[in-house]
Amino acid sequence: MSLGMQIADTINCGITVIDTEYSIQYWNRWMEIHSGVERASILGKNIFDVYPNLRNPQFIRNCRSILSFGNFVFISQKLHQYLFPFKPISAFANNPVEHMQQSCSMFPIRGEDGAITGICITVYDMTELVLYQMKLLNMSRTDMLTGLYNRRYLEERLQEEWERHRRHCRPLSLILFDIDHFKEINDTYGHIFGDLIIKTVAAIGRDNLRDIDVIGRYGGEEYCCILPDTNCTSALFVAERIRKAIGDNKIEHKGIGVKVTISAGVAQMNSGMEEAEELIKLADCALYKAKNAGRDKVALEI
Amino acid sequence: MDKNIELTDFEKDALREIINLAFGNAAASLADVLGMYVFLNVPVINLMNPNEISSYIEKELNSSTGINIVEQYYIGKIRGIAFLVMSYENSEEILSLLGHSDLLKLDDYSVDQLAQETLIEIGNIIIGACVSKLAEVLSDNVIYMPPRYIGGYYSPEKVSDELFKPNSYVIMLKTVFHFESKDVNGFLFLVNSYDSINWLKDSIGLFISNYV
Amino acid sequence: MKLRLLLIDDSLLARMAVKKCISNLDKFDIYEAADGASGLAKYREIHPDITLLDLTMPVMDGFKTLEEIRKIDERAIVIILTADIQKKTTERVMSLGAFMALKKPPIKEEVIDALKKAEEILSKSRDLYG
Repeated sequence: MSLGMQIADTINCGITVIDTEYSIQYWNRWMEIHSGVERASILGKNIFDVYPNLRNPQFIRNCRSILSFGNFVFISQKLHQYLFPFKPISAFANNPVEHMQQSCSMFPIRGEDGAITGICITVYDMTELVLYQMKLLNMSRTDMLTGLYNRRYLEERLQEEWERHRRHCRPLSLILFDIDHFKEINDTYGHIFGDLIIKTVAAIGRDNLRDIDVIGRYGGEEYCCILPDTNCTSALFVAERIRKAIGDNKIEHKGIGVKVTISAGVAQMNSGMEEAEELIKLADCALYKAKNAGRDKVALEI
Repeated sequence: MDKNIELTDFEKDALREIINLAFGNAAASLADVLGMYVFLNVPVINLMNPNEISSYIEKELNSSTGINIVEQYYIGKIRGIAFLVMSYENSEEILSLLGHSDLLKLDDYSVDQLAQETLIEIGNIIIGACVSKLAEVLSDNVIYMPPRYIGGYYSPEKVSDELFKPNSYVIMLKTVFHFESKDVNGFLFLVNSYDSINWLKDSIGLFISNYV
Repeated sequence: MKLRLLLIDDSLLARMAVKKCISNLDKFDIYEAADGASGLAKYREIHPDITLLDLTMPVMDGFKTLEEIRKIDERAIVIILTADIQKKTTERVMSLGAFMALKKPPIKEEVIDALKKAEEILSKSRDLYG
């Protein structure tokens, strides 16, 4: 075997070559191992027959740019996740990705006269890196105690939802709520019980929201819920449901049972607002109103 | 500058014609690949010092706000760096250029991230078409490094010293492009190293002898 | 009488390439201009029988020049020479009244063939209009 062929067959990345008619001309050992398809049985087959998922406008556009002017194409894992639907290596327990995450590049193969005769595709397995990234991303977004989103992510997400809803003229509402008299509870029953209360309230809040809603821990005993495509009437209803669920629940720890209440402020994005921060401010005003009205209440500010 | 490596007026004229031919072919290829007519204006050619690159680009972009830059290195006998600069108001319009609007359904990415990835893809295709066709007319072959999104502003540090020695020259090509029926336009700057000037002179000579 | 041929192209090389294609034909008096605006001035001055026109030029591009020439003489025979080989471009110049559109760099046979066709039209219209 030639040096080049030996390298191509041993290197830790996938290499395949298709000709100008999209028929597979080369399939290295790596591709054999990860696809489970042997070279002998795949050579000469049309790549779209073997991998119908590639028959999409983008892949075809990429191939055309290579065949038409010798372009080099780089396909990031970020947007596309994979070209070839291979199984991820099983070493990862509880693997959250269904397919091997791939970073691929495509470039022209030329004949002796310089004319383009085919396309080479290389495939790198990025799964491990992607999982690590996902873990880091999750950690950077999560509040450790409650498992809810943290304030940083809440603000980032609110900004995005703000822009999206503004663009599409859709209603967007916000609920800010906090635990009434939390300082006294903490002083009376201790920090460990205090933490349990914060966790329990978080869980009840999340259980009373839709999947598309976003809830995070905004401060010590303060929570914030972003409700996409929701007007303030519906948001009031949701806030009331959360208030009631928390008030009805008894939190127990080492034989002691405590009931806590929350106060909640509700606000809806309106055309007079210039930035997302104003929505938070308005919800905060509503929260004050609820507190001043005697707590264990929901209030709306318009 | 060393007179021996300077281009004569006739060579400059020929280079302009070569570039016109290359970009004409590139526009046709782009129409074929993107399924859309892309207008490429007559390229402007300038010779300059590497330390003048940033002020030149800044000056050219003077009035543009909300710009986005994709850079990509290319290496052949001609080698250099391409900057594709696009300015747009609406990220979703960029997505629609490549029919990526359906990606907005993916929760994992914001519209800006998607627009960025789309820009990289558009940049890769436009740069690839223009540079490859130029290489083709000059009987050269180039390879490319992955394109990178370098953000919304042009920074002089971004042009690497490794590519352009401080006392050398660069051949700067600038063209303006816009897409048919889309309110999206941009600039393409190709900053070519002067290292291969002797080769370039030979190639121009060959081109001239073929047609005159 | 020799035919007057006007070459409008900003590139000296491109004009030389065209002249090389027709170098063994001595039936033309060749005039040249290096951009659209001076090409138009030249057109007014000499009233050429045939004009060969580039599209991508500074000052005034070929599309505009073509329009202006056709305003001066709606029967003007203008052959476009362009590197822009997109179908849309060809369609556009034909709709503006171009006689033909040829691809750059010029190929001898194509140029001679185009000129031959132009001459046929010229002699026909001379027969008609005298």
